[in-house]
Amino acid sequence: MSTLIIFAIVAVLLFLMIWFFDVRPKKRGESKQTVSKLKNFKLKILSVGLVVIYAFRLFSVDVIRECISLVPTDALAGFSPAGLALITILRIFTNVAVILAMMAPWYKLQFLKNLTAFFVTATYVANVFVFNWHILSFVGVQTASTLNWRTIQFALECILVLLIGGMHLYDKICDKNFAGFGKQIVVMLLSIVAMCFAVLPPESMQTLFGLPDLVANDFEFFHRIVIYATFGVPVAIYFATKNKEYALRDFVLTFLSICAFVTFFSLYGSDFTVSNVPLHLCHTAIILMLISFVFKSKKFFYFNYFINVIGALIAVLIPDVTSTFFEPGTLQFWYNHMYAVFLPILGVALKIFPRPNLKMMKNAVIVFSAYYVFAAVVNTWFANFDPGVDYFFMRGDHVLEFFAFAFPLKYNYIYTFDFAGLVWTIYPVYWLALYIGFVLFTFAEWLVYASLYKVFDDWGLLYRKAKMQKMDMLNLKKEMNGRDITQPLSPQGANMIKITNFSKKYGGSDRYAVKDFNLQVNAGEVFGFIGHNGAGKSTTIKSLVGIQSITQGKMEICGFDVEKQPLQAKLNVGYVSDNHAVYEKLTGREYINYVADLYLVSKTDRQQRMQKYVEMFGLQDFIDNEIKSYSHGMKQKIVVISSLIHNPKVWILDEPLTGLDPTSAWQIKECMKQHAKEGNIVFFSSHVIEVVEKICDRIAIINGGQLKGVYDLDQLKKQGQSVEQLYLSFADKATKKFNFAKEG
Amino acid sequence: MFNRIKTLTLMQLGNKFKKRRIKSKKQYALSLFFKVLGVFAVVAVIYLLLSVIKGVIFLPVNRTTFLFLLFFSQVISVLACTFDLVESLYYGKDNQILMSFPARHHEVFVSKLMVCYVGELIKNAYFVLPMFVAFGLINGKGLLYYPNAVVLTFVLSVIPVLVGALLSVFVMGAKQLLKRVSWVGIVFAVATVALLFLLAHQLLSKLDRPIRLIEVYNAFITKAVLFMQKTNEFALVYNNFAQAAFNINLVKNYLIISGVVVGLALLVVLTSMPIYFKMASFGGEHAVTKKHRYKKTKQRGVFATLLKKEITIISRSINQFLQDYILVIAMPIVLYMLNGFYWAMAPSVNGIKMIACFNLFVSLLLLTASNTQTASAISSEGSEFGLLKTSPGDTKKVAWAKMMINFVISTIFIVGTVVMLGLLPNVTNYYLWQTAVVLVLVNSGHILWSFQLDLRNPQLAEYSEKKAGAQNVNKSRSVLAGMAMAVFITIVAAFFMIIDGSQNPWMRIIGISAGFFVLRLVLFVFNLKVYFKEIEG
Repeated sequence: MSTLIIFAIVAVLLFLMIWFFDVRPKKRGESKQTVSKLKNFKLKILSVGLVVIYAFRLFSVDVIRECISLVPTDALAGFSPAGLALITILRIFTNVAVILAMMAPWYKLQFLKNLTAFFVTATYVANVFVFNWHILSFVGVQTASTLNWRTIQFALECILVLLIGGMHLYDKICDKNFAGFGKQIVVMLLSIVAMCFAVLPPESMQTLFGLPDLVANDFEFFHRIVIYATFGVPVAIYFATKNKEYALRDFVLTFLSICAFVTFFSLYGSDFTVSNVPLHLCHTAIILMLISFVFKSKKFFYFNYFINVIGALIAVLIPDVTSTFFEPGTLQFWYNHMYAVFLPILGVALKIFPRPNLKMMKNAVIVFSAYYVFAAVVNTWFANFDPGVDYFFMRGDHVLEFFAFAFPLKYNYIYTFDFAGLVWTIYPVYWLALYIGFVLFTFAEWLVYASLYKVFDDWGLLYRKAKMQKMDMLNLKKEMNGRDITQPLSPQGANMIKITNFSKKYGGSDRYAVKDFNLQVNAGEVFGFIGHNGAGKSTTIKSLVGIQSITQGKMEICGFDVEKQPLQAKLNVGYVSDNHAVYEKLTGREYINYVADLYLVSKTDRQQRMQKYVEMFGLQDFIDNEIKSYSHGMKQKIVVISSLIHNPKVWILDEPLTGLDPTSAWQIKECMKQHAKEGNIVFFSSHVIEVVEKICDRIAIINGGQLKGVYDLDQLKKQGQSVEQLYLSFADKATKKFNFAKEG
Repeated sequence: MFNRIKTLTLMQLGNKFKKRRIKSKKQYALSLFFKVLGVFAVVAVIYLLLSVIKGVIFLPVNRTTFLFLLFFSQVISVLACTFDLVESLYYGKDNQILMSFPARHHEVFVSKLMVCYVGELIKNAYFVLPMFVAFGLINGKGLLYYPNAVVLTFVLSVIPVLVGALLSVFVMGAKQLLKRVSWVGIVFAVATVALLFLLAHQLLSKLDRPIRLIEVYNAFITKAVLFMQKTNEFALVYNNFAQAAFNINLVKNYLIISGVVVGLALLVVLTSMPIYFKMASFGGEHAVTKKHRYKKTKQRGVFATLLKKEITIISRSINQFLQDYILVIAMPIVLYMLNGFYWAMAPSVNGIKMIACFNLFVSLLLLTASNTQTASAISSEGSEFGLLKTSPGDTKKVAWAKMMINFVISTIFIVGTVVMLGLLPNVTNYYLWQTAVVLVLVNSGHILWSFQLDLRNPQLAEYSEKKAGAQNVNKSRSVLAGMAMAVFITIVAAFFMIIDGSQNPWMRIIGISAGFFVLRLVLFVFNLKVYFKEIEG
């Protein structure tokens, strides 16, 4: 009988392959694309047919489930332990193969095509060879000898799978592209091992290894293994697939959702009762997950994401199974709940579904509310037929074991009434408390999700920025062309400040504080920078000295790029801020020494310079007092001294004379002139035009964030043009332009 | 004169209570409604608390208890008003404006007292008045009790203001003295800590061992009542307030109260008011001109420079330092007292484990709450941060310099706590050093976390403007994070010690603490490398 069936399968298969897929060369006029599309369409039809055929096997009872430790039961009398082992292992492979065969026509993945071509085909060829053994394992010795519907079902299944697998194998052979096949084999083997674990038939461990006393409860060893796996497996899947193409990520998660369905319902046929209808939250999760991933249904997905994950997690942490770990029901429990925990999370993490918002969560709570009411009704109704009915733990005491204080809430408020000939018992207070508790958990879960999103986004941004900084360093080294990065990037700019197309935008603003600013200042110059309040003077200066970033453009100090070589640029700069910020608890001397240390000034140099400037500014009697006792002018002088302590090539001052008495102002102006005379650059901003006129060699006028012009003061004087008139002409938006610009 | 006082008072109140402009009567009525609702809510809470005290703890809720609570709250009010008035009268930034107005100095003085009174009245409206009402409800008082309570609240609010005005002179004097001889403050602080420890030790030695809570409960209640009665003997005029509230010799008590208020007002007029201007201008005229000894300088590396600067600033701001670390300084004494009490109860094996968990919880709460100054480390630089941005060299090291001080202080007091716990009998060294390791690891991780919070969200502009008075959201985030860590570590400890019952729970707890520390360290290093240069001064 079995031989006849095998020959029949092969014959039908061959016929179908030739007729259905037309392995002859394409007909004239048909494009390769059309032929391929048609073939794929036919494969999809086969896949759908396979789903229907397989469903019959999934929901059927198999006698092999009764076997323990390779000892055949009476129904399987005559089976050797080796034969049982072979069939059990083959069933594991078959589970994987049938799912792959169902999915193959729907995904354009080379990896999947290879698996289908080789693994799926090989598995079912093996199945055909041991066809009879399979039938025996389904129905037992007595029934197997006659032609029964399990035989027909499995024969059809083999035909369909072999058609799908065979066509993939045929395409692979015709393709003749075996480049990198060695690596692909390794990937396939590893994938097959992983997939076998993913869709392990729950009874297989019992059949192969028996029922050792391994209790997975109360945080015992195996319970912890399960908990670690619940968190570890999704992490592994995430990192293995996060950078792969969308199709692969989608395939992995859809495959897993089908595995969840198969592992759960494979035991269903055995003990289907009224108390076993898949109405437990985690049972509905299995069905909803399949629909979510196969049909990309957002509604079902987010219901799982918000409602089922928390329930499944609680089940993993405080399970209600007490039987040994390898018992089929126990394995089914763990697989069910582990999938319910991590599949929705992976669905969002791997970007198959977008991150949800609060509105989606609220919708999920609404759907849960409807489910809860339905579950309450079904519990009460079905309890008339089976006292063991306990959907969502609404009738039993499993939840109360952990929340003992809630016992009175349940047992003090029981109401019973008759309706339609049945007894209806309800626990309104307990059910309400359970509902509120679960909804609160859901909101807490949302907070956890939101926090985790923030953390992951933050880590992602951190990683990208760190990578960018590394890239910037590498680019700098490239730009230096073998020179040391402590050398100036632009050696020709060794004695100047050069600003090229500088623009600055603050934070999230659309408005530019400074736009397209170009300037060059040479050594030996006192350069004035004037503009109205808010014109962009301080913005430009702060970007130049490194306090603020540069949005666009380039700034160079003594040939060093301010952004790319900040340390070298800053070593050449002394800066006097507009707010003369100093540490008021330090004495003047301590502050100057502090700055000198930061600028790496030697002991001898700093003592010499400190003495010179302290005497120049008349601070001898105050230098060892705390700065908070200083007047405004004295504080400014301390800042000036500290900015000159390292004798910078470029001295930048931001409105240095504001609020100073005439003597102090004169001292600082003299200092500026002297510093420029020594061949250095003095660049300062001001809106006191008289000062600018007196000490500057050249000036730049900025208005509304834009450079209006650069002017030589000698030239202006020759023209009879005062700086005030010039400045006001921009302020009044005059049409005439007196531009004696002389760029560097 | 009254007009001027009124103008000055309203001006200061307008500045102090910067509220949204109420545009319409409807808005005003709504605002008032919500405020009244708030008072009723407090009444409900106090009523519930008193019901628990009466029905669960079995402490009597009568005039004795009322007087005790009133006295206790008013002592705190007096202290608060005193320090408030010291700041407002003598160090107020608005003095420069108010003194320049065409108003006499004593009118400015009175206006400041009025502002303080309004603040005190608002506080009492939200606490003392609800307490009055709650007591009235619990004791079934008649209708006349409640309007009487309102009147007494108004009168009660005057006393802390007047007493504060008197005491402010002495406090101001003490502050000036401490500025000149700062070591006195340190000596005083150390002496206080030592005294507190001695007191704690004495109290613990008086406990009968083993303590049986249920057995001693009745005696505890009796002793508590006796303690309240003895304290009430010092309540002075508040006794009269309590009697007036409970309608005992109403006229006589009101007369006494009025006499006391008038007497205090006269004292203020005769003592504090005349010297107000002199004391207020003293601070400005006598800015510290203390010369610091010139020490030979040597060139230091960037980290050493930054660390030296931090240490110098701290040594010259002892008050701020004590304020920042008061909880950590108190930690050894608090833990010593708590554990002395626990161990006196002769706990069981599970009880010992619970003590260990609770010690971790309390210690971590106190430690992490003290890390708020690290949570404003960058922000507190204010405008001075520009110097760090413009300096060459790796100024990111400022982070390590600032955290080093926090880390060292915390570790010293963790060791101090462990040493003090070691003085108790039955506490093993094994337990002590493991506790210390967990505390150091978790606290260090939290310090890194706190700094990172400020690094990612610096409030430089806020601190540039307001200096020490600036609000920094990072501080409250740091406290929340600390509380979360305290709860987490306690749950982990409880799980491994009690639920899991594993052989070596401490190693697992230390492992998790070390994991937390390493994670925070790695994240911190990356964040510092990436985000420090993005801070715009």
